[in-house]
Amino acid sequence: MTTGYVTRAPVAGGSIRSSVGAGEHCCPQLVPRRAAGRARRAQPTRGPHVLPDRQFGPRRRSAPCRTLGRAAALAATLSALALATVPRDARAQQRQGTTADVFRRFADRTLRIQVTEAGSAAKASVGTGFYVDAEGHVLTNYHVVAQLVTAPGRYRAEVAGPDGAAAPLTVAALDVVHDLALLAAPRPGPAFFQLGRAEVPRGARLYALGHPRDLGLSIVEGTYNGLLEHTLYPKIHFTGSLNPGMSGGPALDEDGAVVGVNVSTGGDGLSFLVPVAYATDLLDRARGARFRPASDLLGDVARQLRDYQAAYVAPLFAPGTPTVSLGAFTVPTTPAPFFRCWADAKRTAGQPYELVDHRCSTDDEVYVSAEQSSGVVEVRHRVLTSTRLDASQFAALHSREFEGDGEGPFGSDDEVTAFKCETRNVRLKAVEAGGHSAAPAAGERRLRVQLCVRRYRKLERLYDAVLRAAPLGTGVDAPRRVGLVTTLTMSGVTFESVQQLTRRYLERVSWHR
Amino acid sequence: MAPVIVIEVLDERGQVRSRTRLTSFPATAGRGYDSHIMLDDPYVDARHLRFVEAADGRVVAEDAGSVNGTWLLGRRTAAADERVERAPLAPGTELRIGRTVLRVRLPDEPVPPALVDGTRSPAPSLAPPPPAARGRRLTPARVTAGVTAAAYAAFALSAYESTVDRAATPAVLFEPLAYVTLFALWAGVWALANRATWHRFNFAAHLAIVMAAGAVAMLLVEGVQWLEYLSPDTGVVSLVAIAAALALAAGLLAAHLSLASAAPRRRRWRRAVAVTATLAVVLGVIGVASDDEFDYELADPGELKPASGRWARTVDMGAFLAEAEKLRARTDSLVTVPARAPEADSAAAETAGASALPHEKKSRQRGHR
Repeated sequence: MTTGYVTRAPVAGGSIRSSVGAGEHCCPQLVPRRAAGRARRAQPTRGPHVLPDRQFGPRRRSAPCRTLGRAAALAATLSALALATVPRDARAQQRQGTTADVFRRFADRTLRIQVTEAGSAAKASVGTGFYVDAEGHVLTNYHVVAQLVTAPGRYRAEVAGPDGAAAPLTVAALDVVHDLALLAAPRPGPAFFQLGRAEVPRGARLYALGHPRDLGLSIVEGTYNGLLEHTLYPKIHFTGSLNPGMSGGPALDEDGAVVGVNVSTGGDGLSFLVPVAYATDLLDRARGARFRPASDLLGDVARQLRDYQAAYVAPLFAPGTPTVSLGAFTVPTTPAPFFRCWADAKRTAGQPYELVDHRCSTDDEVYVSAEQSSGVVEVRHRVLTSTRLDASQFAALHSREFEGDGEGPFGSDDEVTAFKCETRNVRLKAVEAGGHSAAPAAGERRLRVQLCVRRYRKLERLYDAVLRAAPLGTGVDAPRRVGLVTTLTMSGVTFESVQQLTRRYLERVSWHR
Repeated sequence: MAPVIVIEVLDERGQVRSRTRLTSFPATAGRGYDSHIMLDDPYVDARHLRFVEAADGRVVAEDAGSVNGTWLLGRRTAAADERVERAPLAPGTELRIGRTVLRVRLPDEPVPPALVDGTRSPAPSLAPPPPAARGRRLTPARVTAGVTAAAYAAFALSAYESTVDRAATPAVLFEPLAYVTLFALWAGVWALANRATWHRFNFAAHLAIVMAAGAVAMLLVEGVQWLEYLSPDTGVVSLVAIAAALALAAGLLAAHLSLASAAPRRRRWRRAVAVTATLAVVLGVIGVASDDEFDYELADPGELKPASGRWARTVDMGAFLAEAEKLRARTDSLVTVPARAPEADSAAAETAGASALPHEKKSRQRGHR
């Protein structure tokens, strides 16, 4: 992966909200690390899905961000002008010829989707879609039309017809996990894309179509850079500049075959596409004999999220998955290949203790609404060591770290309930000898364990949960006192998964004296 | 030989305000200037009570036709008081006239030895202190100073044991100082009240009271934290803690009132308990009202204490998960499904178009395939 991720990774403070998705809104990378942490804290939204162009709402950029955006836009315009007016060589000319050709041939198959707030009849967001069959089915991103699903009745999706009058679009089928939606248009488009399973070599030139910032249909050249490795399902790494408003637009090869669907951006020409195979599957599903138009869309979303979490939760923290030794403690790490881990140690001169912070998080999240993302799992271990504090002081330090900032992942009252917690001292059986722990704990292990759970309000049988645990009695032995606080944060999982992960996770935490 | 008795005049708090020795009878008590025992109680008649010697030589009190009468005090409750026209007197008899209580004593009633006035004694003499003073080292001033110093030391120790950062020294100095400043303000308010009632501030005593209460509160918190550490699931712990905190608050108020109020002891306690109860109800209502507010706060997982954990009450994993199962019902109950249903239905119609309505039932069946 690019170095951009690594430098961005360990943001201080927070759990899920500081996880690094495959992309971000434009600001956090531009500000220093700590400030970025604060910015996220202050702004409850997160996630990579910037591409629908929203004029209002929490995704609005901050002032410095807008300024930078303007400067960048100016620079881009200037360089584009330079390129346009002074073609370097024949090859460039030929390439532009191809781009122009692609645009001319396929522009009419795309459409501008506007989501309108019903009360004020004003534009809430703009995205892109494209016709995929002769019956007028339109493919776009789920996040372009998410408001129709999560705040039903308050929003409608519209497409401008040939006569300029707005015609309504209805949601026919959803694939929330891959961020795809199939819409039904009132009448077929002039032409449509035949979806397949396009295979293109790395470095192949792709053309993304869309309505960046609602400025009119644009074409963006870029290159296919393979599939992301650290995501639960593959995403295409597209080196080309996608901008808000281009969400849901097609990315084509030179022959006009759809390779992916524009979905998110990491900024600076680092963009992501949903592989076309998922779109093909969704369309096939919609065409199947058993298919009926979904009338309980939230039910569909919930069911898809439950299936999704069942798939990724199954292997996590199972026996044999990796652990790491942090001082006296052995704790789970890298629960699955789609997790990424970072560690940092804090040793300040004069500070009478040291803190090692190790955390792992899924690199990916599922967009549910502007205020809610799902499918994020985060593991965090904090190990405290001190030779200078007395037992009481160490216990006070341990308690302080255990309570932490006392906040779970962000959420809004519309989407989730408040957290409810149970706290107990839990005993676990002694660890079997073996592994790389030299001297397994004699007898049983005792931990203070707290499990906090909140339910999704609109999505049946889905929960967020925070599991926190601290071993008891590890700080009493002088001179070297040690303590562990470990946190497992789960979002968008069923209650059964919460219980299963709690058991597996704690059973893989051990220590020796 | 004529009897000799002493009449003590008691104030509302039961303290002796004056003593009068009666050697010749008849003698009178009342508000008038011609009384033997002059009383400054507006509820007392100018000539209220007469003391006469009966035929058998005993002294009898007679009501002189007063407006409010003469009452023989009951032993236990005010309700047992008995209005009398004549009352034979014996040592310890208490009569109420108006709002004043008269108590009968004999001249041989013993009194405690005099206190040693340590602050105003002349230059130290070479002679050993009188034997009585040796047993009475605990003067109020010393108790006050001792309690204050002990409480201060406790605050400082607590601050030291809970500081883990570099800047420990200033915290250890200033944290207890902050407490003491706060307590001194509190004691100052009580001292003003004290002054209004009794013409003296009694600041040091009020400060000692609040410092002692602060120290007890600290011990209480520590004790509750230990109980929670050993057994974090006991709801009883929090109930006991709340009860103890309320009792402490009531005790604190009653102690201040005992110095600053003229009311009798029973009424002082009743007031302290009433104020505490009102406060508890108000706080409870605020707590219940704010409980419904949405936030993403996690509950405090409790303090970790410097102990091995061997004595901690534990549950095994299965029992913990069984307890955790309650969380499902508790969070589910926060989701009000009926409130959302109509909206969802109209919304479904809106999104999926009118044609969606006939499909609705079918698609619900489809929901769990």
